[in-house]
Amino acid sequence: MKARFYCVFLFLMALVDGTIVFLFPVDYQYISISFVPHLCIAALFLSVWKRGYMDRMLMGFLFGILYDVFFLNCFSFHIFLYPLLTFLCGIFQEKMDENNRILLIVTLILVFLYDLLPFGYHKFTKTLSVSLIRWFIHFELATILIHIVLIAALIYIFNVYERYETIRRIRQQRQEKKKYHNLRLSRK
Amino acid sequence: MRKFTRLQKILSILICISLIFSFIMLSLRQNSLSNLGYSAWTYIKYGLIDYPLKSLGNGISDFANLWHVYEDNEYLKEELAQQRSYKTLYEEERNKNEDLEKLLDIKNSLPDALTISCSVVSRSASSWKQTVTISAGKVQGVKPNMIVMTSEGAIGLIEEVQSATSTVRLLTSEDLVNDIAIKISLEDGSSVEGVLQSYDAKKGAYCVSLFDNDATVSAGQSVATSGSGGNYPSGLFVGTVVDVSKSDDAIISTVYVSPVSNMKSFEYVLVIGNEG
Repeated sequence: MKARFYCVFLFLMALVDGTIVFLFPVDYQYISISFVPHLCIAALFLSVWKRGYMDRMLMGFLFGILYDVFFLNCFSFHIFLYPLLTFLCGIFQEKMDENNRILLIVTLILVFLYDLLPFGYHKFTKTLSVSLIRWFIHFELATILIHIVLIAALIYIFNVYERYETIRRIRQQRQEKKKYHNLRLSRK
Repeated sequence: MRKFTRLQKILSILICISLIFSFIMLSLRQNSLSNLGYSAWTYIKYGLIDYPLKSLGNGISDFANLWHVYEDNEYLKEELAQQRSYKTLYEEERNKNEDLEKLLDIKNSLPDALTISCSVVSRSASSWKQTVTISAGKVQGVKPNMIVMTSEGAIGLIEEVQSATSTVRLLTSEDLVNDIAIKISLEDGSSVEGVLQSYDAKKGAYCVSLFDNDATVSAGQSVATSGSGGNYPSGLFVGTVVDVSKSDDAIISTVYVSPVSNMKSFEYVLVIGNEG
């Protein structure tokens, strides 16, 4: 149930990303200020951070392969970037579990790294000539500011779902207990 | 050795399958896998998001454009109304221009005559066919009995002269005091003279009496001033013969001459008299 929910939710977030990009196209000439949605990747981080490092990295690896093979048609560094970021998203698990703010900050940093690392790679390989400051102001600043709100909303959605799952599990356990109790009584 | 969990096994299998497929596709240089994934994703996105949003946006912009269409319509209506008035103004100015050009031609054809250009100041509805007042008087050199012409021909004689205006007795008046000496050019090259005495309101034509009753006058012939008597030169168009009335013994008694075409409505006139 949980896995199904996360899969559907990630798919929906990807659609929302596509909608936002359709409505507010990104200016890759860095003339106007753009907002690049990363709801899908943020939802991925929020859904895997509680898991063990192996689970996180495998999920990241799978996502990276799917993205590279089905969309980019090559083995670019996403198959390394995704597992790296999903690994990093769980290193402060205890602190993130205690405080949602830390969870928000860590997710925000990872979303920023998700943009910064490819930018650095393209700058290093000299396929991009725009300066870091210009890139940050026109590309990343609005992205980070808006993602603060969006990631907070995602955290809230996941928390609500966790609570719902907990309540459902408790209810199921109670119903099973009741069933066994009734069986025992009927045998007597 | 730590065992893999069920989830890890599933993920590993999925990763292996994806890697195998992608290696096969890349080695065969086939883009079908990426095209399949990208096409499927694009179709889903297009059907669920892009197309409905675009349709909604188009609908909203069409609705918004209705207001622009309404405003454009109002503006164009005003323009059209103004166009009609511009057309009327243009036609009026064009007619005026034509009149003035013809008057100028007449003026230039009479270098030896005194010509005074002026306009109609007033024309009373009650005496529409009797008199008009023009904007030239003693100051401009107008004298009584000078002939007054429009672009089509003679329309009257100066009756009274004030300092800056004059009264013109129209040829269609019932009280035409002074006769006008006229001549009709005949087909054989000769001409016959006569006098324009009055206006027959029933026939709508001037009554002209000829000095030579044996002349062969027929309808369509032009009638002009003869220049004898009166304060105006000869050759000024008066009208066209429309009918010839003969007495019982085949002698012409009266020639009926139609007035000029713009007798009923004219704005600019030329007062013509003999120089000196």
